Amino acid sequence: MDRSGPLEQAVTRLQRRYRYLRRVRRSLDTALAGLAAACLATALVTAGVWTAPLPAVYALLALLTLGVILCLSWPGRGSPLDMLAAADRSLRSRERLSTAYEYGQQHADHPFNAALTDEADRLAPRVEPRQVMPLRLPRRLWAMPVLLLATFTLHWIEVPTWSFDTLGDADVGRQAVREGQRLEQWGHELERLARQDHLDRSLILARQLQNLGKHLQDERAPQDAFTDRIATLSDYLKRLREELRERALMSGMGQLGVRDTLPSGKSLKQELKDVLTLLQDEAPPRDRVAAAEQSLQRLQQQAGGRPVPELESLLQNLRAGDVQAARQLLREVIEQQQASEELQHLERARRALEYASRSLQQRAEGQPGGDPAPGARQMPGDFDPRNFGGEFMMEDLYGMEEFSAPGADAGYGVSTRVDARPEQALRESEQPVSHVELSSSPGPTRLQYMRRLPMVNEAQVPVAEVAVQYQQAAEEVLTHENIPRGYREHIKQYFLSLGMVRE
Amino acid sequence: MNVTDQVAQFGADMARIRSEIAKAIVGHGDIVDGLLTCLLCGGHALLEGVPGLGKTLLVKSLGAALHLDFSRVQFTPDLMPADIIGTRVVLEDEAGQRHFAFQPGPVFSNVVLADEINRATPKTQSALLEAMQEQTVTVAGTEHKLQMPFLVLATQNPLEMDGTYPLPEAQLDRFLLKLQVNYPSFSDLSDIVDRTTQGDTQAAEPVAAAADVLAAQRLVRDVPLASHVKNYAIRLVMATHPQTPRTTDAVRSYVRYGSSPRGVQSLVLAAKVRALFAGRFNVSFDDLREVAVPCLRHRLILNFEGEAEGIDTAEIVSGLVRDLPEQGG
Repeated sequence: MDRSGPLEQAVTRLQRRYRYLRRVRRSLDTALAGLAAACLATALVTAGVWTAPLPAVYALLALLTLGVILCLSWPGRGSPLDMLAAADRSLRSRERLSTAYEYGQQHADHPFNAALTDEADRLAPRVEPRQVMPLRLPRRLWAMPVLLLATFTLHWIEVPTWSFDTLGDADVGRQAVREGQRLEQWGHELERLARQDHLDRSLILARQLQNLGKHLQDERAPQDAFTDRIATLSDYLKRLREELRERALMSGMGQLGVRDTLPSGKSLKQELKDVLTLLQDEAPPRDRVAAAEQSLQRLQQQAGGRPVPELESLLQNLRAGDVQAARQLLREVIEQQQASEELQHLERARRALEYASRSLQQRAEGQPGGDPAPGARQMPGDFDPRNFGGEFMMEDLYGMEEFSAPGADAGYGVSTRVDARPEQALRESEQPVSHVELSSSPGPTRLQYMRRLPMVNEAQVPVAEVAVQYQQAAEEVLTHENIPRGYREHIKQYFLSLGMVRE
Repeated sequence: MNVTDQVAQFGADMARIRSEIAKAIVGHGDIVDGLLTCLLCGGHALLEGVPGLGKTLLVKSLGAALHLDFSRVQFTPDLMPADIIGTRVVLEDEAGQRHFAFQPGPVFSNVVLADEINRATPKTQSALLEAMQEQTVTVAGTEHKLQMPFLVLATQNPLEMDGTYPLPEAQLDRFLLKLQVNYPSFSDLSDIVDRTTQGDTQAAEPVAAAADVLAAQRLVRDVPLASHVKNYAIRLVMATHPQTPRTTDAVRSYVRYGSSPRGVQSLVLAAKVRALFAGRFNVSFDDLREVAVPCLRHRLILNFEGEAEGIDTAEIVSGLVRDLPEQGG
């Protein structure tokens, strides 16, 4: 076949078109892949899943795409027969071109060759590569503008504002998550203490507190649902407290204080358990009974000199030789002491719930979270999350540094937390503000912790505005609650030291 | 003479033959082309149509136009194979000695009309098998060559099925084409009336000889066939088998056995004739599509569902031609 014939020229033109189309298709496919990768990267970066500078990512992807395009654009050669068959279809030439080409290439001595070639050469100039192989882009390339639009949209939209915890009521949701975290943390702390002191009911409550905290963090429930949950747990807590308080108040041992540590370094409950151990046998030896008597007498003295009825009864039974009655009485006293300790734990749980509910409610009502409403009061034990006022306890503070402090029951202090600076929780100054030095005071009991006033300029509410109502609350607590005898005077002195309280 | 001239001569010869046949036969142009295709391919044709449509006259006219020996065998139930292929008879020479001599039957002609072939018993029908395939006849151990060109044109009536013996598949497969003779149109019928009821009836005159036909047969076999066109023919025939992955639902549902390899041979040869009819030097996809139905319709064996639902194999082949893409694996 004449290599420069019209048919061969048509084949050359078709080859050129084929290479062009292949280059275009591969380039567009590669660009599509690059665009998809860019869109994905933008989405990941915008969502905060991946932290990378987007311009750098785009540049890297562009370079990668360019490299792939250059590699794939390497010149290739299509089958001439297939291209001529397509040309035959385009020209409706009844396979004249393809047959002529094939027979010219493979059956050079065929008798029909000359006639076929003549016909093909006449037809070949009519072959128009653009008509034979039109540029038909794959449908998938329609995704390119969509991806481009998506990338730009993602680039300009702040996805974090759509994050999970901010869907719906953004403020309430964020507050609920925060309160949930706090409740869960308090629950863990309460569980640790309850385990340490073997307090079953407190343990259960601590776990419920943790669960509630988790629910508040995970759920998208409206604010009412949060307060309902807290109210339910508060009701349960209230019933538990009343039950335990009745049991604890039946004991005169409350004068010693449930969290006090005796000079021996042990708690009252541990001392009583030691006595019970001495009397464990059915007929204990005399020396053990004597040791038990001595221990009880020591406890009697540490109670401040005032006779404690339970200890008196115990001593009388031992002196009368009725060890069994003494043992029974001792068990009852230990149980009461246990109830008192549980009561103290439950009081902390109550405060945690109150705080969470109040924060949520104030957030929903548009008040700054955590700030107390001046003048509002809440009587201990009368918790109602819907009507909760502005009373704050020291456990309300961030960080819960004072969570396990016995002195927290006194209920004084002011929270200064504001949302804009959540980390600036009220911190205590290094120096005690009170001239009542509790940590080294002589007496039958000593304190493990000492409360101090907040640091200067951190309180949002002047002490003068709240001191009176706090003093009234303290008097009320002194009247109704089981405040260790040794503490009563110290509390009075503290308020007197402020200089604003009537004598 | 170069190929171009040969093809032009071929076209002219065919035109003359058609015009001669047209003197006696009104219409039926596609049937005439079909018969010529069979003749030029060295194949045989099965004509199916109700009585009175001019089948026999058509075949006789073809024989007359080609100046070929023509014989007609009316198939009946009592027809014996020897009645077709011939037999040995005792002859007495001038010296008074007797010897056996082969008496050729009607099959020893260039054009054999097997009229109403389905009325003979299968045994008699089978007598044509060797003649149709090998162009030879064997009698008493002696092989006798038939005259070339050899063309069997069989007819059958699709309506009167009582007392008939449907052609066995092996026999059907030996027919290159199965042509459906349809009822003439109004204008054709009007011409038939005029020609046959007024004056003398015209007869076809011989315009080509056996040598011309044989030369045309050689020319047909030389027509180029591109590989992708050949692949299409093969895929088309393979698609008649229900086991083939790329076939139509109709084939899968109604066909028990597809075409034999003779189908693709017939398809390609017939397409080559069509290409020459059109004055082209090569076979096109359209040529294959045009001859697909007559080439393949009688090679498909329907299954029970196909028979029960009265499926026409021509429709199945038409569906294949319509749906099968030209390019494919």
